[in-house]
Amino acid sequence: MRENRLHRRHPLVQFLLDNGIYIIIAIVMWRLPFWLGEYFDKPITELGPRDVRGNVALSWMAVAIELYIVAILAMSYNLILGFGGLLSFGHALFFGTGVYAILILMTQYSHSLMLSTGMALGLSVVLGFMVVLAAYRIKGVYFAMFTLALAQVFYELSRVNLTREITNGDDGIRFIGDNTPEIGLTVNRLDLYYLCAIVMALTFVFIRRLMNSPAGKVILAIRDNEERTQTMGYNVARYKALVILLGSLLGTLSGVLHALSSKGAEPGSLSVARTVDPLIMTIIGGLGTNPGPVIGAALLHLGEVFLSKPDLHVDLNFLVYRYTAVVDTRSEWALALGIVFVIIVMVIPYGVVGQVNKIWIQVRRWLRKFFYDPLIRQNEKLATWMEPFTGEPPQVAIALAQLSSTESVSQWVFKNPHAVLTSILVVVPVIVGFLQFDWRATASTFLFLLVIIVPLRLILWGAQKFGFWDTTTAP
Amino acid sequence: MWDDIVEVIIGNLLYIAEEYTDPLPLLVMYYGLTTVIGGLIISRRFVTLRRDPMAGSFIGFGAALLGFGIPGIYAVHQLTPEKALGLVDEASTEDVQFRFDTNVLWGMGAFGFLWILLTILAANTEPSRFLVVVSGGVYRGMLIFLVAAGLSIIFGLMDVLNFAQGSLFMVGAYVAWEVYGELGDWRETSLGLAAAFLIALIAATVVGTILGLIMEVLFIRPTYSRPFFQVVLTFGLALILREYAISRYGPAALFNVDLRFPDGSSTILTGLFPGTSIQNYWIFMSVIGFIMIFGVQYLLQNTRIGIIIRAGVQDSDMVEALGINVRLIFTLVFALGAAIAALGGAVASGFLAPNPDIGDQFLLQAIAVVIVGGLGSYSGTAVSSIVLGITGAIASHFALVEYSSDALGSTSILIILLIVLYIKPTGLFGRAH
Repeated sequence: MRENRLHRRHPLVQFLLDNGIYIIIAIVMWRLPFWLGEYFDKPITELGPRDVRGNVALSWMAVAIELYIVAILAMSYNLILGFGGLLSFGHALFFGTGVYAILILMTQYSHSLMLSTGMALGLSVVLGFMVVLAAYRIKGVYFAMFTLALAQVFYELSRVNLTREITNGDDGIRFIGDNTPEIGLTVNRLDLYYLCAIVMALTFVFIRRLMNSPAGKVILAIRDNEERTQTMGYNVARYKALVILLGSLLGTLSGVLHALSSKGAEPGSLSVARTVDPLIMTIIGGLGTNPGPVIGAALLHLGEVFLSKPDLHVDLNFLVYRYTAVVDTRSEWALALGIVFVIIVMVIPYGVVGQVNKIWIQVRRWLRKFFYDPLIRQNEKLATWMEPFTGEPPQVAIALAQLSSTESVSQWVFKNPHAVLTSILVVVPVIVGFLQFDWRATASTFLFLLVIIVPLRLILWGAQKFGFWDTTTAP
Repeated sequence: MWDDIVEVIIGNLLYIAEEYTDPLPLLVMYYGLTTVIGGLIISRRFVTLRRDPMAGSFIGFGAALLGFGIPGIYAVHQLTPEKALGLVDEASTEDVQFRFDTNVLWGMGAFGFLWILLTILAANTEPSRFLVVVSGGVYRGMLIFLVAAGLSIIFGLMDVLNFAQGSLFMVGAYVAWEVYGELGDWRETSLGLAAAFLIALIAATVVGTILGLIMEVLFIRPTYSRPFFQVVLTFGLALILREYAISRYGPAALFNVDLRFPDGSSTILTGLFPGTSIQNYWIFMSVIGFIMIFGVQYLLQNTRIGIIIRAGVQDSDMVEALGINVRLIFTLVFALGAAIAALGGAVASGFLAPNPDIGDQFLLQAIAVVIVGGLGSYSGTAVSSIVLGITGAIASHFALVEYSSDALGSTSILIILLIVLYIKPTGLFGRAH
């Protein structure tokens, strides 16, 4: 759309359109601990880790910290899978490297935090080079299996008795008693919160800048057609190495933060589950998009917190029981996740972001057709006022408006009953939830409407198929 | 750690050099030599006749294991009539020249590797333990094969790496457990016991087949145009099946019903090798595995549908152009793979208590086996499953003796996978994809 515009928008308008949502999110991230403290009327700054248990504000802050960490992990995975086009099933290796390296170096060798982080990142570069060397020769499914086996070998090695002196087997290592290093980050949760928030924001900005740079364009070109990019004279191997090493570094960074926030390392941080999580997050959020992994991480992590943790559990049965059977989502979170994941892969393969983009393009088209064009046709002054926002000079806007068809809303509704029903399904629950200020109302209204609208659409589909509903003529 | 390993290897070599009077290492070395030579001789014949060197190596290996020795292999070589091998008319056999296929070399390398391992094992254990470890490796390889067979055929034909194969194995285990529990009254007589066990196996296979059909038609078929999402989709299906099993049976293993029908240990083997005790169920599992290997091999080589499948592996568009419904064949092959995996699960549930992770632990090893054997090469899968099964068993044995943990068994298989992928990215017997 942007390429088709005749004029550029006003720079400030353009900046706000591009970055406004990120500025809002950054402000929310900045103020969140204080809002939590005020809302729950609990102190958030001066407390040590032992006081977390009774403090609701601090446990919600821990949720936010973990969310930022998994978001970094998902973004680094998206860099390899979504942008690099390399299906890797071994991302847990880099995450676990960060977690274990920090714990081992700080507790057993008493290195400082900065030195340990540096050494962890160096180690991840070494491991990343193993994957890079494989990526030169091994392609496709073989590469996926290679990475899976590599990560699995390290997972098993972290558990066996052979390495018990270093990794302490299944029990893992923790910062306990004398082992606890004197760093503010493991004591002051607020510092840790801001560290994670800043690292996540910087990661996001870095990946966004990288993918908008010439190098990013080459990376995307390699994903789409490797041979052609090579023929054009780019060093494919170098760009692949760049993607994999950056992904491994960022994955290790999230592992380091996880080690600081959970104050422990266990074999679970190297297991396949740590690869599957970012994979599912990336695909649910939107593969190969910048905000996709973050949105997927937020959906999955918050969903898991709401639906499976008993202490933070919010009862979904509030309104649902009136319409359907009682749904207990606490124990079946993972099952529900699997089903949602399969449905998303089948129905909207490019995730939430891809689908929202699609819907937004459609909505923009409707807005223009039914509201903007009819107004512009009669009002030249409005067209002048709108120029900074649309980027169209008034004469052009009016000419386009006069060219567009004069179909009324009612005619369009009659022609597109499926779209209307789907819009009702999406819009009405949001409005109801907003009016009641309760997301449970949204969920229950959605389920209620689903029961009505799905059969309606089936009947309509049959009517169209067998000719009872003629959409070619308006009433 | 490395010092220990180097020390063990050097120690073994010195031991073999000095203590050559011990008959067991010599016997193993003789078997290894006959395997290599026999495989080479018979595969040469097979290359000339059928262009399937792996089947030849396989028969050579089997002949050597059964103790035929070099004369036995020569007899097998002479007794294999050209007509019986089929698919070759006399006129063409005259023209086909022997080409030394590199696949034969890789096969010999695999057997040589196994031979060295067996020698090391024989030099380090007492004879009664040796047979237990090796037969444990064989049944382990067979269980891996039952998961890997479906993976291999499905990938060869449809280019789908089915991550749900391990979950189908798990489904088979649970279904057999349920059915066997339902038929509690039958298990009072020995005949009823056998019937109940058989019904449990059949029920698991049928459920696996139906599940495979449903999965292919509902999920795999609509996504052929997006291969990447297909892989991810099977991942999601595996997640669903696993979580469903957890929600229905709980995360712990089920020990309630003892599903084992051929119970006790083999008296014949104990009579032959005093001090050895091998459970009958291990032999039963190995036999089921070998039956499946040769059954599927027969299906692929000697039936009409097998010819269509093999043609589809080479060029499915061309097969479709010949008027054959390839999509239907895809569905059938997927169901076949699922049925084999479910049967494997049912067989395994008599030995390993059914638990939600039972499929995943075999899936990883099965993937390793399929890739080491070469994706799309059925006989490569069969050979490497036995080789890697025995390797894993030997590694577990040494790890149990030295470090008292058997986790090194599956890890050794994965390390072999990594090494093979670095050396030959398409697997030992795979074609470039």
